[in-house]
Amino acid sequence: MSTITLTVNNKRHTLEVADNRTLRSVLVQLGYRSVRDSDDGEGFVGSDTVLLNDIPVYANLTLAVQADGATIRTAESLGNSRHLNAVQQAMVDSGVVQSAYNAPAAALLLTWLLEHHPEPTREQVKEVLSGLFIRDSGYEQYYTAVKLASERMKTGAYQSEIAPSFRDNLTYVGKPKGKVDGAVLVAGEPAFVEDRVQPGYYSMVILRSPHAHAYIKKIDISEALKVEGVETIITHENCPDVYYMQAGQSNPEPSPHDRRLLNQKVRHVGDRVAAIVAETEEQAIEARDKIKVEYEVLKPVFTVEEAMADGAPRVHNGIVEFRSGEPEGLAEYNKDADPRDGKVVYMFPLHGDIRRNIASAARGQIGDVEKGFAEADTVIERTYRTTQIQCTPLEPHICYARIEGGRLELHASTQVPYHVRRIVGWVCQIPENKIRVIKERVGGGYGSKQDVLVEDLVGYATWITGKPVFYRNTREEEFIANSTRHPMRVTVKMGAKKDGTITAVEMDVRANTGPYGNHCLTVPMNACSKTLPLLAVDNMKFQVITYYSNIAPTGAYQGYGAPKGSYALMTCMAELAEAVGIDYFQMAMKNKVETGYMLEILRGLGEGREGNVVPVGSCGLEESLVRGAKMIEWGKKVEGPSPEWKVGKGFAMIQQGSGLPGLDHGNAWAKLLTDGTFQIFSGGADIGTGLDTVTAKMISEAFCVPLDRVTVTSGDTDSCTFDTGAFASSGTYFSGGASYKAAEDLRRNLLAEAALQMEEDVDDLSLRAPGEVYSTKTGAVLSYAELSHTALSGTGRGQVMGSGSFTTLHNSIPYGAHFAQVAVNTRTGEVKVQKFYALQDAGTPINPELAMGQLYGAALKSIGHTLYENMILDEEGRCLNPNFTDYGVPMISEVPEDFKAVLIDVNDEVGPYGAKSISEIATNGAAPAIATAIFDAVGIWMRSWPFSPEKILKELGKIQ
Amino acid sequence: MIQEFLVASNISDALALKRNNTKSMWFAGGTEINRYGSTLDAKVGISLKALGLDQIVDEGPSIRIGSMVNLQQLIDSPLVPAWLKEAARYCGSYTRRHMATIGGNLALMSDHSFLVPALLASRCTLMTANLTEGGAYSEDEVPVREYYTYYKQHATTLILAISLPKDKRYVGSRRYALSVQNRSAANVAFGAMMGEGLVISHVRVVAAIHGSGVQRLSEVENAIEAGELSSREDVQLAVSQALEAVDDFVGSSQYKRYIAAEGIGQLFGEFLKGGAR
Repeated sequence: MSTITLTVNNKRHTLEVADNRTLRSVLVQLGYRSVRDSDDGEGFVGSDTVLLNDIPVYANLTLAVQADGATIRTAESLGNSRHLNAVQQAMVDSGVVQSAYNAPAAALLLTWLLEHHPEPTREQVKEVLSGLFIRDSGYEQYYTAVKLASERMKTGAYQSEIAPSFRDNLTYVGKPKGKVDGAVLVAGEPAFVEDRVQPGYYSMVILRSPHAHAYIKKIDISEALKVEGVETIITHENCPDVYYMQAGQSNPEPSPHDRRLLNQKVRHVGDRVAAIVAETEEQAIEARDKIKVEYEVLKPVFTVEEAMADGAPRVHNGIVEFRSGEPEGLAEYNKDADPRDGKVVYMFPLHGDIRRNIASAARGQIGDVEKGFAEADTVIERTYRTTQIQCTPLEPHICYARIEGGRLELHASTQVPYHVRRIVGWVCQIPENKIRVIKERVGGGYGSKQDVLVEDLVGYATWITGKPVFYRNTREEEFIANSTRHPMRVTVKMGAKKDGTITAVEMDVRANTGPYGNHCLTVPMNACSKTLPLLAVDNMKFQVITYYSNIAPTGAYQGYGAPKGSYALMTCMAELAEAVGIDYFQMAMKNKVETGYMLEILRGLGEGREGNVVPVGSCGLEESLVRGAKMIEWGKKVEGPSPEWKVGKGFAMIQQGSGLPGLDHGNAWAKLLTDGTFQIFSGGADIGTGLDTVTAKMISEAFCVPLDRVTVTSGDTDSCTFDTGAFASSGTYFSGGASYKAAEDLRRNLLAEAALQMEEDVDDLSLRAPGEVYSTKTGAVLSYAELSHTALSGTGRGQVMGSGSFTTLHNSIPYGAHFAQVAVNTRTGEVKVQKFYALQDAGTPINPELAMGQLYGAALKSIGHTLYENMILDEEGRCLNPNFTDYGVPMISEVPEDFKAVLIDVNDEVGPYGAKSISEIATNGAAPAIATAIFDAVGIWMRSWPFSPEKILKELGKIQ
Repeated sequence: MIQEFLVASNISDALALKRNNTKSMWFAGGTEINRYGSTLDAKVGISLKALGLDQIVDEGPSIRIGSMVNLQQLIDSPLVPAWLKEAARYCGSYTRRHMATIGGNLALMSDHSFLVPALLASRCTLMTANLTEGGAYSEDEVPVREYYTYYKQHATTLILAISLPKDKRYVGSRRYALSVQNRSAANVAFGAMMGEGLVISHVRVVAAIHGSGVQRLSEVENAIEAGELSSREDVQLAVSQALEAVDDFVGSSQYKRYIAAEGIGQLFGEFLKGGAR
């Protein structure tokens, strides 16, 4: 122990600390909670950045004793949510404050930069941000934020444009107005699950499997239970005999219920073996070390090829059950089941065959592909492979649960609070009214927090012990026991006539779902359903088969299967164009869909049921292609900086969806408060993308009141109404659509009340700023405050409220095109993305600055997948690179030299104020755009991502 | 992670603390000792921050860089040669560059070191301090090649400073990794002098290869000095044959050999063009 003195934000602290304590842990203890932790002290992400004697350091990589006598600044020194400094405000205004887990650290660094360099260069901004990993919004808009802050500090006002605006007839929608929760987030004030944890909590740690595939023969927890402070230890022997799945999706799910909380069979390295709850984390870890486990180790399978081989080890070999649609011969099928494997329960048939490691399968077609291929002058067939990618949210998976008023209350970082409630209720076998889920601010989800990966166990432990329980994944657990992108093998066969007309397309998708079947149908299906409808081709066929294996778990990841399907389909089209001998761009223009084209292919692309055939609605595809081609100067050859650098250009058409028509559902209700302000309750889960701001704008626009007159309450299952959750690009469209309808309903009700109070005809009334009802007939005015006061007086008619529910069968598809210019070094295999232009039609971008950030962030993420990221397992199934340094995420150094996001202005006919989705689609373009650019540069086709220098060199014939 | 943090008040005190504490390590910036996933096993950290080793001084024929100088100081200092600034920039994080020190990077001698190949190629000298077996304080000037060769015997040696001669000498390095902050597969360096009559001398060829450690390729150096390897292609072939490399998650042995040889070949080619730095 040492006694140290720290002067933090001008306040002197003297305290005694253990020599091995990190500076961060001491600062948090002192109340400086903005100093967050994303990497367990790897010194990579930078959420823990502080200024130590005016120098930036990672507080988690610094011992508290190292800082003895130092002056320290944290983000708390900058300002608070009611009084932001210029940098913080500019960050909110420019749209970079999204999931924001390390936004306070960024604000601190940029403030420091501007203190030393009031007008910093782009290179200086890049350098200072080089120690921060920003996954959500990319880095591009940070340059704007610094510029804006610098201008404001110098002149008192912004001189530059924040972001483009849309819809001149609207005041709030389509305008950059800042994010309603931005100030709290950038100031580092309590917002996340970790900020809600109360003293006296119990810690949970998990004993994880060292084997990829094994039966637990014996587990002895007797010595562990003797450790002081241990409250309970949950194993497969004492957990509920309840089968479920962790994917928070629709109900019933198009995925099998193939797990319990803990299973007798472990199916991946890192699988749960026991959960230990103790008064302190140290006690829980000590107990974990005393648990004795005997395993019967089984041969694992890791690849699709291994899983489909004759005689392959069975990952699941238990009893198969069906809740509906049980096929004939099931009893015979189950004869060889091993009870140690447990069960696989299908809610309805998914064409799985677990004895052959098949979790699900689907197929469909339109037209006659054989006839189409016969009509083609050229037919090619190519196979593309993708690897396993980690979502890497900066805030790890985390949950804090307690018993409150006899009910289970979970504070969760989740994209799906209502599915958390349902699944935890099912696991605990308690009704939903006994559970409250409070979605806190989410420090990054990207799909992985669509899965209920920690709330199930924390909720159960709390329910059975009655103790408040806190759990947080380590960064390694984020890699080995979390949702990841499914590895896939996609074979595309495509034929075309000499003029470039595509006559037939066939896609064969083989997906690797890993140990459990989370999203095992929907993710691979998206490889087809979010790509094939781009093409106006009469003959198309697809087959999707998903295999169990013993890799780390997979699940939802931004874009689902679309980035992989897009990579395969677009690259194959480029290969076909080359084989036919026509320009790839011309082939795209010739075969793309356009408004009104009937999407027959959608019939077979439903999520476990028949899909709805609809025509292409609003569509900015052609404009994206034409503008993108002009921006990148398609067809113009560019010389590299030296002979070994070759430059090439590529692109990809992209699409996604706006939620799932016929499956997704949003609800909201709103009320007029007594002083004429508003509160709206949305079931939608804002995961940092700005959904709460969308919600607020629905009220602001409808009632002509500024955003600060509207309070949004969301993600609380007690006070809000049901919503399927934030996934599948549904937020703005479905949740925002419900808020739009709630606002409209409230507007109708308010006008009706006003008509009664003003003794006017409702048709003569309108709403106007700053918040009043105006009679166009008499000129009379009634403020919302007066109206509400009268309504709520003893003789009034009660509170003015409105509600809205949004469902649709309409498919508002966002379209776009991403263009890339790359330089490839023929001697080293390096690939530099010189230019990346992401053009997308998002309908009306309700929050344009945030939409741009979504676009930049998703595009950079997909550049990372394309060039760098890859989870690597050894022959035993152990992940060899479960940390940031070894895994390889793109940082500011990897941002394209010329990076542009362009919002194509198209008004959708169904979405709220014409909006469609924005972010998922942006993950679909990089791989095919870069692959085709690499071909243009050096004449090789990259058919396996990531396109590492080693793979490039192999394709170039430099190495074997 | 360390359990005890001892702050040395002077150099002698540091050496005494080191001798008296088994399982202790010099604690410079702490970026490796404290790092999540570090393979260093130290129970006691001996802090060097109070020893005044954080200065860069022009000493006339050489530049003296204190071992506690951090990588960003190297970049910011007008005294530091370009080749060392370039190597310091291989540490892609501005924040980490403020924490990691030149002495710490050198003493770790890791297979993904940012600086070691370049420092070895520079023929710099290390100012070191140690205690004799009898406990007497001693300071030495140790050529960096000797420190490298007898690295394990230097476990108790405290590096006080790195002395860079101002000779007209070429030094260059290249780092190869998937991304700037990803772990490197290879970090290579080449150093040499071009004398009258285009005689090449004092050649250093060094590669830090992930999984195989830091390698000085003396045979290649000798062959270059003897004129047996005179073209970029010759050097590349010789390097690829001399290097040790293993397959691991960072890359195949073949890739590592190829890319290291390519890098050294590039540097040799640059040197031949007169790129003294």
